Amino acid sequence: MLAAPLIAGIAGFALKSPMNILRLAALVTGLFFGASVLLTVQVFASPEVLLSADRTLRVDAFSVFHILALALTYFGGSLFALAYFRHEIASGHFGITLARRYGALWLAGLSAMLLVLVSNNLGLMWVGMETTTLVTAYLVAMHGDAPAIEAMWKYLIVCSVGIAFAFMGTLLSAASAPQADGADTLLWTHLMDQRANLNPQLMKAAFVFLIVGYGTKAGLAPMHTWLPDAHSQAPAPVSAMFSGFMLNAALYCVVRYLPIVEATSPGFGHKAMIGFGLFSVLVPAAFIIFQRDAKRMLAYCSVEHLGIIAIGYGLGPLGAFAALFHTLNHSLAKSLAFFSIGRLGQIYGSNDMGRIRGAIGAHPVYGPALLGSVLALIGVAPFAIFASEFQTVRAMVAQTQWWLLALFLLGVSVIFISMLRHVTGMVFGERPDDIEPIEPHPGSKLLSFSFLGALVLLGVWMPPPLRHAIESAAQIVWSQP
Amino acid sequence: MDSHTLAILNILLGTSMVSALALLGTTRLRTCARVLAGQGLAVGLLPALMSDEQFTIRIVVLMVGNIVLKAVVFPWLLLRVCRDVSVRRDPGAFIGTGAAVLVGVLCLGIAAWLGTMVGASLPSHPAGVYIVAFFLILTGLLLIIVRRRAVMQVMGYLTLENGIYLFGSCAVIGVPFLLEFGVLLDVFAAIFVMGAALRQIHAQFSSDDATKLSELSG
Repeated sequence: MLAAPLIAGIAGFALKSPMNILRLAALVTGLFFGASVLLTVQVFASPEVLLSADRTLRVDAFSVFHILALALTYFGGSLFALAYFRHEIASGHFGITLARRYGALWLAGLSAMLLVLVSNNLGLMWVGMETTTLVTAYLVAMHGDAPAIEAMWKYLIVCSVGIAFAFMGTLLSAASAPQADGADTLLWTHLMDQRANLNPQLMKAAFVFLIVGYGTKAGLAPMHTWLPDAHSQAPAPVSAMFSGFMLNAALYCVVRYLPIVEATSPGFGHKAMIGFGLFSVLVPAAFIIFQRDAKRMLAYCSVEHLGIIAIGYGLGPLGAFAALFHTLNHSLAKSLAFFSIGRLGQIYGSNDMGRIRGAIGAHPVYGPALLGSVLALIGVAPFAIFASEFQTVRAMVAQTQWWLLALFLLGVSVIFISMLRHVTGMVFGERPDDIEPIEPHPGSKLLSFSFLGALVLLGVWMPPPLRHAIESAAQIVWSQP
Repeated sequence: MDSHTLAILNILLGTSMVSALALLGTTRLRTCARVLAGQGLAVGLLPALMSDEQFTIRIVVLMVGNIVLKAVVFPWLLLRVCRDVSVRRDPGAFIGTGAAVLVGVLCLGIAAWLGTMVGASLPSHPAGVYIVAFFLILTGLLLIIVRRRAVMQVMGYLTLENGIYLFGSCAVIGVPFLLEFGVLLDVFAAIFVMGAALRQIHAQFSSDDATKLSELSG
């Protein structure tokens, strides 16, 4: 599973048609999704976690849950890319050279993110996360225009520095363990076993570096500065992958250290998660109110949702359950939102929300899908995000965190009103005369309505296997020494 | 550690520290690339001198790999980029070089405090090692913030990376060879990608002035 996407991406250089490269990516990510489902079944069928390569690789309930979300985001993104780039090919903006690079980097990104999720060695996890930055940087600036190159440079520099800080945190956490047995100190399982014997001061310092470092890649405020630029300039399937999963992969790295730092300094890690999370809910609220670019609006919305997830992890077992559920819901809703705005942006020739008007008439699938996905993102019932946000609020109430609750509700309310105002204008406003209605492809109907259907279904009913998977994953985050 | 080794160690630590201050105070990019090469050589040699182990193949391979990349390949790549995009000097974006050196001296104070505090809980090494490691990290950050040229920001990133490498080699014992090699490979890939990005920036903006990269905001 680790090597196959990478090999397929390189094999794509032998293909001579851009569409065939996109089909190859869709096929590989489809098979990857199938393999992830089988892996999930295997993890939950076996009482032991899966280990390999001399304990360097490890799959447990927490990682397999994220692998499923990764597979879902990538498979959806690859299917959408077929439709999205078909129009770019027709307009001469996506030739074979670009397609080969895109295919190789897109699939290499999948391998790198999987490496992050299956690494028991925390150094290897860092290598995987740094690799995601390097392979996806070019995807941001694929079309090579000035704003895209600016966005790529900011992404590269800010995230490289952030990830360097995360490496410092990784080293400090290894240094906090008794060093008698050498190489084991970088293994997550070793640190978990030795939690009671770690140096608390070093582990606290390590967590500060880790949350700032990986938090930069996760888009937590105030380290989120690269995110709106990169998301707004990248092609829509790449933006969907960034928001749908890459940010979660970075947060996953922080959360892996949470039970370790909590064992040495109770409350420290949770307070840090809540602090950065709350700031990430409040900061984007100010930017979304006056936003004019639809993709930047969705990017700031990702900062908000990663903040909600971070808050959840800091709020006890109920909060961790809500955070994991929210991770899945956000991946689905944000992917669909980027698909919709990406396709509408092609039709209107702009991401300016003043220009995109009457989208429901311009595209009978992506117009309603934009409305549905944004309603889901702002937490309207019966979409699943309403349920996971409600669980987060319940966790705050259970811990009597009234100030946190008040500020959280202030942030999400401002975003709710602002995004609702923006999306109603885009969907129901008066369509410009030069925009003709488009006959949708059956594939886009299937893709959009399956994502929307899943969001509604999860909002009203959680399948017992999914509940079991989330509970098992939450137990790992909140395990006691 | 015998007195000769200690003397060499102190010279290398001093070289690393002075190189960082020199980077802050120099505007000529070619000189900066050469200073960075000297820093790469000093930082590459330091862990081998501090190691309790004998000179195993693992230590030699990592030391040579680090020195070849940081003292030869990266400076050469940066010099080539400077030549290709025809940039010679970086006067600084927010503050001049004199002020940058003064802030650098302040950073040395912060590094001394951090290095002494964190070093107390870490494997014992001559006191200056952790201080110099933190100083390189802070100087790297400072270079990224206060310099105008994108190529200088890459040099800042490399200085920061040198600091983290020095810290890691002293603080953590027994990191697997493949992992150290993987990290080195990642840094190499990062510099390679940044070099390619610099050429794209120059092609698009006819300059590598990072302050011009400000169209996207809000």
